[in-house]
Amino acid sequence: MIKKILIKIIEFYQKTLSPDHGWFSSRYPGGYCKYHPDCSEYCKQAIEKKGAAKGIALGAWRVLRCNPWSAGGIDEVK
Amino acid sequence: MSAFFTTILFIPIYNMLMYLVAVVPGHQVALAIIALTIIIRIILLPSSLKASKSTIEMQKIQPLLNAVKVKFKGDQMKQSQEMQRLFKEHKVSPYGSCLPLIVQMIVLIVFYRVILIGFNSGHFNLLYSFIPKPAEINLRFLGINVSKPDLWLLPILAGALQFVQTKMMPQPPQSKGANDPMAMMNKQMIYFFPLITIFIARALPSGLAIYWVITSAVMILQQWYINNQFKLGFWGKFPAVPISELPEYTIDTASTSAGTELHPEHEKIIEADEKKIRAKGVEITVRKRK
Repeated sequence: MIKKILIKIIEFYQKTLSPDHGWFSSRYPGGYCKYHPDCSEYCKQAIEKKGAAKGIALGAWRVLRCNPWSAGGIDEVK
Repeated sequence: MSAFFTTILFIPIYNMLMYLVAVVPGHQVALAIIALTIIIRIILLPSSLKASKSTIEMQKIQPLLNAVKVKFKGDQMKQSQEMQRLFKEHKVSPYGSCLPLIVQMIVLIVFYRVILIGFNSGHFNLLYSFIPKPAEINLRFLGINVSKPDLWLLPILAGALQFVQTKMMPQPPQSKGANDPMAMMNKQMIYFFPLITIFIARALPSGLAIYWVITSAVMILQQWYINNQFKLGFWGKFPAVPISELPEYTIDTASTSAGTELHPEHEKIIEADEKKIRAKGVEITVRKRK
């Protein structure tokens, strides 16, 4: 239940404000986020695969890594 | 959880704001908010400048990226590997990072809470010992009370500046066509988004509208600087590139995976592939055929 709500929230964000999927995505032809999958997609997948609590923790850790001092690159949910 | 956020976010920002209230002329809360907003923008400046630069560099190779997207439609993994290769080849990297976006969002929420509860001496117990207590707290600024919503001037100014700021962000040259639904969406949002801002700003304490106005103003200056660096003019317009000058893209034949979904353009690209086989791989032309 919580899992479904969280995923809906992320999907809503992706359809609206997300620079990678949303209204402004055409501005970023190479994607905004330096990681693949981008942070919101990563959070979504993490919550789907690992459940709400662990998924949120993994997602939060990914967003923290997605800072100006990190290199980015391909980083899937394991 | 809430106590954790209060300690690491709410109290530091409250202290910073109160310190500024204590030192600015007239103990004007509005001036303190302006100063704090500028400080926050300065902290975020290096990362936001780099992100804008990389966005423009990325937009320059947009035709190549589009080709990759078409060629590997339906194969996300392959797409992103191929893009990473392109980034390396053209020495660009997506510099956008998600943390600063979230930080800005959180700062806005914390600001909201600070402005809602912060302006009476009852909360001085939250001040760190080394922060001077403001002798006076002046909520009025140009006839506006910062803790109450302002209905017209500030919301409209916030919306207008945000419109200018979004309008100044360059559009990649190839997405201007009406056939790209995302580009259309983006175009509509340039007009719609500032309206949302106006309505939200009308409902919130005007101190937040001040934060919004200053943030947009600083971002306009930043974008102006970046646009000038890339010689795109104030409004960030990419010069129209003649079709013959669009870049070409090399790709390994081996990398076309089976099961890749066919796209209307796919055929043409494969066709172009076959015609231009080179020693190392295949070159596809990303030009639109007349």
